[in-house]
Amino acid sequence: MLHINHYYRPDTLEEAWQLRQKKGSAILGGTGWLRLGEHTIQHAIDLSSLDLSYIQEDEDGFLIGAMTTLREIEINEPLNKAFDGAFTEAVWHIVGVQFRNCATIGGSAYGRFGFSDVLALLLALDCEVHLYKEGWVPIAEFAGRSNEADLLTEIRIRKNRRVVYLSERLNANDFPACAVAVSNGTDGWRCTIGARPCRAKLVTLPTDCGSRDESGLRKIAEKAAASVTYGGGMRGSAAYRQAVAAVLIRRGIQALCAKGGQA
Amino acid sequence: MSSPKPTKLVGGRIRKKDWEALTTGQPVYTDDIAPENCLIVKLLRSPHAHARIRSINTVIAKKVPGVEAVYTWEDVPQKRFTLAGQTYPEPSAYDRLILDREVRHVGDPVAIIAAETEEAALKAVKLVKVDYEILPAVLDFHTAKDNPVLVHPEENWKVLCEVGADNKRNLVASGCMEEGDPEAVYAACAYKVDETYHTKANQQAMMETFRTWCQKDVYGRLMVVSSTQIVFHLRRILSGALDIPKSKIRVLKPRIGGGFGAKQTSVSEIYPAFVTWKTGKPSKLVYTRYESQIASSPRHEMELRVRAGADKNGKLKVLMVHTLSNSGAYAEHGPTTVGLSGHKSIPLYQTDAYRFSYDVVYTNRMSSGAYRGYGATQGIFAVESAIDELVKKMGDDPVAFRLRNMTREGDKMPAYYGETSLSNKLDACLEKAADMIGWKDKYPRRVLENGHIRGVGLALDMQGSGISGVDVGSVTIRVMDDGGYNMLLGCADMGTGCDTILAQMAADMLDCPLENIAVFSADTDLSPYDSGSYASSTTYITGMACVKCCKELIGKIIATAAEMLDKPADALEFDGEKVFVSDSPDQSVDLHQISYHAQCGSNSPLEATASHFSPTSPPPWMCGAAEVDIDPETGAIKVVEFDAAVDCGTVVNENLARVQAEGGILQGIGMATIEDIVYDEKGRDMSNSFMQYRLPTKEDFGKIRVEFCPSYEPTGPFGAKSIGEVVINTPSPAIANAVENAIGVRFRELPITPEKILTALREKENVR
Amino acid sequence: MNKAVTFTLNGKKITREFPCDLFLLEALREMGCKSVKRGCETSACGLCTVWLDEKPVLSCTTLAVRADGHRITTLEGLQDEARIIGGYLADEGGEQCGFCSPGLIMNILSMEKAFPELNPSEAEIRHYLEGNLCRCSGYESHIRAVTHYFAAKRAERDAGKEETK
Repeated sequence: MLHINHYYRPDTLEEAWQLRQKKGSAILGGTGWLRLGEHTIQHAIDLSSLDLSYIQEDEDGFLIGAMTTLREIEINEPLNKAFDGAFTEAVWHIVGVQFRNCATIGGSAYGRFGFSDVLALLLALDCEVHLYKEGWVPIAEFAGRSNEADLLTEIRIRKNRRVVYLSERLNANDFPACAVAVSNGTDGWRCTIGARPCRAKLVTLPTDCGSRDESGLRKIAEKAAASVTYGGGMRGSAAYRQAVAAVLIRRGIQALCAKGGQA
Repeated sequence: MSSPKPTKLVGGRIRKKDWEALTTGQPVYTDDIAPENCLIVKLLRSPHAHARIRSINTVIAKKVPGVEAVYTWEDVPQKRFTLAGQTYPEPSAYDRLILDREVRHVGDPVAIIAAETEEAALKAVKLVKVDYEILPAVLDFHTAKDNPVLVHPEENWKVLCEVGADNKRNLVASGCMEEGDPEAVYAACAYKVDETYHTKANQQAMMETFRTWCQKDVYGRLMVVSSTQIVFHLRRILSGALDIPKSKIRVLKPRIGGGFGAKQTSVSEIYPAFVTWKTGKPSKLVYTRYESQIASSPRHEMELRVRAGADKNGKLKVLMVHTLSNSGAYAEHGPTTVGLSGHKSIPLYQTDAYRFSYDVVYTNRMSSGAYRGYGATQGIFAVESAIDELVKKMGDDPVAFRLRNMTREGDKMPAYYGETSLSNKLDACLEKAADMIGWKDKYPRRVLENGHIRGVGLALDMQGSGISGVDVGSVTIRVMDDGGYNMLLGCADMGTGCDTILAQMAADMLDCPLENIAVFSADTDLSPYDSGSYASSTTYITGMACVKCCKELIGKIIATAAEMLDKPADALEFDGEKVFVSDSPDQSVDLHQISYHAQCGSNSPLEATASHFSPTSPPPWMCGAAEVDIDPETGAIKVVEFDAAVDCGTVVNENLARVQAEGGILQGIGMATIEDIVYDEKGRDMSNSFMQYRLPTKEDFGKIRVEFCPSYEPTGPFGAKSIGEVVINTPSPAIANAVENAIGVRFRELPITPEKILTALREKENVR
Repeated sequence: MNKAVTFTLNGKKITREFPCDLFLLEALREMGCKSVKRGCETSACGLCTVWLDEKPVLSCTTLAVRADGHRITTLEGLQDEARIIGGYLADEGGEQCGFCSPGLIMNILSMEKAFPELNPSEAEIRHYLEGNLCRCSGYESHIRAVTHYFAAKRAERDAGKEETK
């Protein structure tokens, strides 16, 4: 059962940060998974009065507030225009509209769940998270850390990469059995492989992906898929996940090529 | 008796009588109407698949503030019973106690805790200390029969019926029947198939979990309000479990949030009933979804060996089915579900000989129960898969072969208790479904531009309409003093709409608007005896009771009018509003006058009760056709279209029949492609939530389309048969057949998941 | 620990003390909103859908204290609207056992904001209502009912436009 002893809705980030330093404190995101398992939270901190719900576009990219919901991400036109619908696709399968109206991008990034579609996509992009005290941290570095006492306030995504998001699941709104985001930019190609079922991993792809033929791409994709480890579970064996990852990576590269090369 | 032809309301598209309460969210379900001061009942459940309790210490748990009682095996009656909701004497063995010293599956109850709040109850659950002697467990149903480890070694285990059960061999039931000389016929066949098929346990997963509340009434009787399909069986089960007379028990069911057979087993009732009986206080038990997933009444896992043989002219000569069924820790519905795996698959075809044999075994897994289709689903998956395999070997066409060999109207069905099919449009169903799916253009496969492969497949099926010679439906109808009617029912509308369907029949019989029929169901103190709503019985069995009841009531109305008009009854007619003299229609008394007359100085109440059982169980028939889309690179599979043609006899209410069909088909698609109860090596059910046990959503299929090919069943009310179960059986074989037609791989185990497809495709590639 | 919370429930302003770990589902049922149903414990079924402000959310995983300063709407506050959609569902037999109907109808009603043109395609209906599980219906009747409902809504709107011309 869940136990929460105190609930706060601070008016300033500083106040929230101070609360977060207390023992047994936790930030409330969308709370979609809060009910699962047994835990006690001494101090539950709700960031919903801090105006952290926004998607702002500038020339470089987007600033997304930590409390922005996945539903807002799903239907935001500028964001999805810039990334060719990849954000819509990444959150599309997550439970349902009601769930996505609660779940936040900050919570998804901060949770660093293995099944996270959002994290798998963000990792493929030129993206940083802003921590209240520490400042901007590259997403890959952040994803590699464990939970910390700082506050995730916003996420910055540069428009310098094109991306395709692909996943396979047992049924339409299940967790992914395998999730792949392939992106390219001036510094080349990369992909992330998520739901392995561990946390998504970033893999660098050869720079000449765009000029390979089908069988060359197959080899690249298989090599990339083989460069990370997989585990078995309710949603598939390690071998199945790896096989699907290779297919999705190849399709991702092909889809980006079809869309016209680099950003 | 003769049955009326479809008239005004029967055959219409009528809204359910309770639609407004349901869609505006009125408090009409069990938990909505529970008293606020109920003790909250929670169960401590076994973490082990098989163990014996050395000792239980409840002292600390009882000290939690707010805890009213903690009960263990030492506190409960020691007479065994079954939780299966079946007509007495039940075929399921008496192998249960409310709490037992031996626990037989992970999730088996160990202690009952009742407390003033949920928090206190949950706290106390954690504080009950149990010392278990862990026993070896029987987890694989292949090894259960004659295993040295016995699931039910106890001496007071007993059976009331001869079903081939033997607790010293882990046998819940066993048997064999045949006609002709199946082995000899099989040996002489030009084409043969001998394959084994495996269907898994599935959860009914009705949206409302199991739940019950109880209180004592003004006479000190136990009042049980529960989400159940079987109020009368439940009264008997509780009487046996608590060891108290039935006269001390009253069972009511309010609106039910879905059942699909799950609530044909008394899953939750015995615990709060025991608490209230002991404490005298109201109590309530609402199963969590977790509990509903790990300790309930899912479909029996079955393994079926099918041997089918045909001659060189394409005539099916013989079908042999051997079924091994996994009943889990208790016998509930084990001896009966297995029967349908042969009795409702083999009779789809006309053969020279058949054999059907079976073993049903105990294992240390969750007990199985009744789930829509009830064994027929498993049997039809096997037989309709085997038929397609045979057709492939012969180079024949699946449609032509079936049309050549299927059972048609007037045919005898030796494997179906020798019954003759009096109403049968199976041939029309097959032709219609094949037409709907576009069989001629799409069979066997197409490759799309994106590389996906589409295949089509189809399957036939049948079910029954009630349990012949056993189950009873009853209806009581009373004339109210304004000319309306009270109709009292003991069957259970669990969303199926039977309250409305029976009201349609009564209104047509009594020549009145639907609004004039006030329906009540179900309460063991008030309703006439009804076996309950299961086995596809209510429209057919209780429907016929309704027709009988109305005829009897009209006779009474006319008899009362005869007194008033001073005419012989046979000179009078009833037109729904008045009774008039046939020769002189101006001479009449209206129903208001008649009803007031019966209330003043009268010896004859204007009410009738009629019961009905049927010596036959006429099968509804159906053909289902699936088109699947497979991504050969990832194994992803989607049913893009499922078309069905159903012969349920007269369609009593087209809206409700259509939704029964669409809903049953989607459950079947779930069974075929998604749903699976997965256990770990210690016997723990890992599919213990909707996060892990996936249900189909609106985006998991393309389109489901249903058409009706109604026959007229002479023994049914208005020509009707059943529809509730027949609709779940075709998706599994039709989809398996479609998958083979698409990619040339035969799946004999469900569910057919993307991983299995991809693995099979890669193996096939490697063989090349 | 309890916390005092002020919010609007079905149009009425309410101040209550809620335990900090109480979820909105339990709070609402205790307050008499029995239309709000529990179907699971894992945010999977959509039965408990209510509106927070005008957005459908899962009340089973929304903390009651988070309602502070917001508007909560349940089907008890939308009876006329429910009856209209209920009629379309009932015309298809789609309510069946009815246990999922309140959550489904709350979500259907929220579609009017999500699709201001009142013309969601079948694919959009399927996707928007994907999080509302139903075990009875096979969903086709829901799709038909919602399609008919929006057709009627558009006709009503267009008739209104004609009148104002």
